[in-house]
Amino acid sequence: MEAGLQSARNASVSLARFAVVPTALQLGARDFSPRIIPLWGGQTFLSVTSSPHRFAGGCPSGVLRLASACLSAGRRPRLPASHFGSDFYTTFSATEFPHLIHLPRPKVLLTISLFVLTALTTGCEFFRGPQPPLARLQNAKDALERAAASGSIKYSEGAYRHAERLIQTGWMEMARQNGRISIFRNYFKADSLLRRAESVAEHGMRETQDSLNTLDKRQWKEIRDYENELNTWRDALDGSLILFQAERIWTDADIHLSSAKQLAKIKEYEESHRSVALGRQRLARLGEFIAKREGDEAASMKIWRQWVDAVVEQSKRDQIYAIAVDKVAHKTYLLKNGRVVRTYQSELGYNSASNKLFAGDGATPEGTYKVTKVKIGDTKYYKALLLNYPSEADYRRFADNKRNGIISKHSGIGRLIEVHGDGGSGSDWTDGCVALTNADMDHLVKHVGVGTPVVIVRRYDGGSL
Amino acid sequence: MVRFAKMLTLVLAFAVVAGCSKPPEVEIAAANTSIQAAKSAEAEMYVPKAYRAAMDSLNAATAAKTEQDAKFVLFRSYGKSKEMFVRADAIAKQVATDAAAEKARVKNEVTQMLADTKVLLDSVQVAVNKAPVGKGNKADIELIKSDLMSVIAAYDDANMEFNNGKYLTARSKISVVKQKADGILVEVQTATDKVKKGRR
Repeated sequence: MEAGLQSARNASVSLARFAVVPTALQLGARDFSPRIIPLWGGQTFLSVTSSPHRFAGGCPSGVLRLASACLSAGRRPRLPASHFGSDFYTTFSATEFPHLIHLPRPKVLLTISLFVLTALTTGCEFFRGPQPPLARLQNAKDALERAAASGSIKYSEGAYRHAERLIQTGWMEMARQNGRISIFRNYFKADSLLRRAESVAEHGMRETQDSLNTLDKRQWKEIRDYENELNTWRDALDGSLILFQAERIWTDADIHLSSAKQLAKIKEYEESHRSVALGRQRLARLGEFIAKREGDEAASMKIWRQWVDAVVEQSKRDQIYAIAVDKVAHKTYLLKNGRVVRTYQSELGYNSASNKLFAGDGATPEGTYKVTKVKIGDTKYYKALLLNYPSEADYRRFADNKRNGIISKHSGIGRLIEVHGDGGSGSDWTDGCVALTNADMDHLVKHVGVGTPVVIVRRYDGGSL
Repeated sequence: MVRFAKMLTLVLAFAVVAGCSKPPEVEIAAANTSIQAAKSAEAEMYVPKAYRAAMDSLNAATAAKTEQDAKFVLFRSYGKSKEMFVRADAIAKQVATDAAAEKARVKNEVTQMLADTKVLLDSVQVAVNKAPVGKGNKADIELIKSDLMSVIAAYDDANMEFNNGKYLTARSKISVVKQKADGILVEVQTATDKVKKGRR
C-alpha cells in the first residue's frame, strides 16, 4: 500500500488531490498505478491499473464501484467508467475537472508540434522522393518541334495536335505532383503521358514524311503526265495550221504547268494539283475547240473536194498543168493531165487556219483561181505567180461577212495573193500567199503560166489526187 | 497566457497571409488572350518557332500554377507563376506583333512583285505594239500577242490569289508570270531582229 501511495504521489501533483486515492484505499485497493493521458479536444484519459484480487471486493465490480466512488468524490464524470480486464479507465473533460487535472502547458505543446513539423519538413527535404520526368518532357517537346518542322501541322495535323495536348496534360500532371509532399509524389501518369506524346509526335512526323513522299511522287507524276499531254497537243498544233485561239488556250495551259511545277517545288501540293486541274480544263477546251473546228471542216470537205475534182478534171480534159494547194498538209501539187507530177512543201499565211476574211488577217484564201501573171525579177520573193484573188466568189463571201457583221465594215478584201519563192523557213509566215523554196519555184514556173488553174483548199482527203 | 495569445495571433496571421495567396487570374486571362491574338495573326504559319516558344512559356506558367494548386492551402505561393504568366503574355504579344509584321512583309513583297510584274507586262505590251511587223515575223508577233494575253490572264489569277490572302500561292504564281513575261520580251526582240535582218 505504501508503494501504491508513493506511486500515486509521483504520478502527478493534481492526482494527489484526486479523490481516487483515498476512495481506493477506503474500498480496499491494495495496489494501483494511476496515469493521466491528455487527449485531443481537451479530453483526459485516466487509467488506473490494478488487479481485482488486490481490491477488497476482489472482482471487477469492485473496480467499478471504485470508479464511481472516485468520480463522485470529485465531480460528475463525463463518461461512465469502464473496465477492461484488470484495468479501470475512464475519460474526463479537462474543463470539467480543472482543479483535478493539469494538462501539459500549451507552450510545451506548441514547441513539440513545431519541433515535429520541423523534423518532418527537414526529413522530407532530405528524403529525395521520385524525380519529375523533366528529360521526358524535353524529349516530347523536341519531338513536337521536329514534327512541326517536318510539316506535321499541315500534313498530319491530327497527330500533331494530339501530341500537343498530351504534352500539356503530362506537363500539368507533373506540376501537380511537384506540388505534393515528396513522399506522396508519383510521376507515373505524367511520364506515361509524355512518353505517349513523344510517340504520337514521332508517329505524326513519320506520317507526314510518308504523306509528303507520296504527295511529292504523285504530284510530280501528275505534272509529268500533264506535260506529256501538253507536248502532244503542241506537236498536234505545230503540225497543223496556226490557230491563234488554239495557241492562246495552249499557252494558258502551259502557264498552269509552270505554276504547278513552281508550287510543287515549295511543297504546295494541293495548289499544284489545282493548277494542273485548271491546265487540264484548258486542254479540254482546246480539244473541244479543235473538235468543233474539225466538225466545221467536215461540213466543208464536200465543197473542197468538188473544187479539187473540178480542177483535176479540167487538167485532164484540157491536157494542161494545174496547181492544187492543201493548206493543212502544207503541200502544193503540180498536176499534169489530172495527175500529180510533183509535190512541193509549202508555207502559208501566218493565220491560215481559216479562209481569208479580210486584208491583213494573215490567212491564205480558199477557192479556185487562175494565174494572172508570172513574175520573174519583178517580185521581192524570187519568182511569183500572181493569182486572181479576189475572185467573184470571194467578193460575194466578203460582202456577206460584212453584212452579217462577221467582219468590220471598214475592212478591205485584200489582194496580191501569190505563189512565190523565198520559202523553206518551216513555218507559216506570209500574209496569205503560198511560199515555196526557190528551187521549187524554178521548177514550177517552167511548167505553168498565165491561166493555169489553181485550187486552194484547207484540207483534202486525197480522193482525186 | 499573454505570450501564448501573442504566438497564436502570429500563427493565425501567417495562416491568413499564406492562405490568402490566390492564383493570378488576371495574368492568366491576359496571357491566354495574347496567345489567342497570336493565333489569330496566323503566327503558327508566319513565325512558327516564336509561336511555339510562346506556347511553351504559357505552358510553363500554367505548370507553375498547377504545382501551387496541388500544394496545401497554407503553403501556396503564386508569385512565381504570376511572373511567368506576365512573361508569357509579353512573349505572346511580341509573337502576335512579329506574325503581323512577317505577314505584312510577305504581303509587301508580293505587292512589290505584282507591281514589278505589271510594269514588266506593260513594257512587254509596248514592245509588242512597237515591234516592226514584216512578212517574216507577223506570225511570231501574232503568237506573242496571244501569249501575252495568256500571261496577263495568269497575272490576274495571281492577283486574285493575293486578294484572297493567299500570299504564298500568289508569290509562286507571280514568279511564273514574271518568267513568262521575260520570255515574251526575248521573243519580241527575236521577232524584231528577224524583220531587221530581212530588211538588210
